[in-house]
Amino acid sequence: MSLPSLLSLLTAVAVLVWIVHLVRRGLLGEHFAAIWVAVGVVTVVLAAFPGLLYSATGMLGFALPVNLLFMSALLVQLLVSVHLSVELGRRQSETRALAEQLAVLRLQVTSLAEVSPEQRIGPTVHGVDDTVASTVQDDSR
Amino acid sequence: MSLPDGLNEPVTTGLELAPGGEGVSQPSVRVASLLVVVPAWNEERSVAQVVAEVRRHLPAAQVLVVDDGSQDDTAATAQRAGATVLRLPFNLGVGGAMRAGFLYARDIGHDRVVQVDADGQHDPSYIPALLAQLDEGADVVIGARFAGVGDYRVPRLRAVTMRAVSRLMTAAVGRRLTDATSGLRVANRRAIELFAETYPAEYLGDTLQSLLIAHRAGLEIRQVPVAMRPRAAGEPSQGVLGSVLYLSRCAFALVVRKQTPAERALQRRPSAA
Repeated sequence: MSLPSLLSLLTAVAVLVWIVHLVRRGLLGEHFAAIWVAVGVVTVVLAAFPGLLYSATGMLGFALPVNLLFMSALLVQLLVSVHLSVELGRRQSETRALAEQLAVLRLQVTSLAEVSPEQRIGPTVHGVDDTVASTVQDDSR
Repeated sequence: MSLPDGLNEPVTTGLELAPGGEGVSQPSVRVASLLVVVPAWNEERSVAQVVAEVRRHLPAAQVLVVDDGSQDDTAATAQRAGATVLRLPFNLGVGGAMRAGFLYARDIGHDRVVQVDADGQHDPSYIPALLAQLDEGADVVIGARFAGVGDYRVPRLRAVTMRAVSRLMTAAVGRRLTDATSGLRVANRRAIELFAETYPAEYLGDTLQSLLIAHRAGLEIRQVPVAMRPRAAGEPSQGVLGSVLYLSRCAFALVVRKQTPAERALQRRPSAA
């Protein structure tokens, strides 16, 4: 085995080991780990058997093996980053919803805490009975 | 998205629910049916005056200032002025502040929500005219400039931009809207229930896109001419590049963005429509 192919095999194995390590420590969720493990395995196989890449190049009609390799690598990167953006957007809207609901709950909890039990008809009663409303807003209990 | 019913119990017990809710109706104790929501981000210098002015014009309303992650004294100032204060843990933008306001209104059982900016550009004396349109069958009413009232001198380029946005909006909603980005609005219970779930947080989402959502859900949108104070007259675009950018962002908000899952779910549910 030539030195370059030995190096690429070592690199591929190292990446795979690193991913498995991250999953085992719980740093990489199962969902994302699946993608990266698949990428790692494919890299290891290609590094171990470069012949596969050459025959695939011929079959798919590429001029050079590197063309096929780089194109598929770029494609994987593109898909993964779009996927990450979608996940990020989802997390953002979830965080936003949590923040809004937290604010509403916090107001309800503080107004409940500030009203003494006998006055507890409803801390948000305003307008009709102003004494209740002012009790709610008063900081002195 | 909605809170478990049990959690609301202590807050709403004995209170009359909004029409349509099957809660006990006890006319002796009523929630102020009108909620004025004031989204505020670092507005300590103007918020107290806005709250006071709203309370003077609408003494029966509850005023809710949504402190959108302010660094300054907005929350305490608003509270001293007599408002209920909802504090967001960090800045979400007007859309987030308003959805929190609608969420509160929905949970407490308000029938109508008014949105007023905290910078003082809106004159609360127009609110009754907006509310009157709700009684006449509208679901969302916008207080709009450029509809006959008030005297506005706008730079030529900006006028062109605003006219283009107005055309886009009018075409999308099927009703003449001259000032769709206006932050002076009122909403009825149907709109409150829709917006508590779906009010968008993106740029222009709280203005243009929220109207589209309402329109798609079958709500009726109207506008009432108002004059605004000069204060906030410097919003969107400056220069040719700015105008083009602003227009394309409007087009993006109106054309490209389709329904979110929450909107679709709401439309499948017949009670919301």
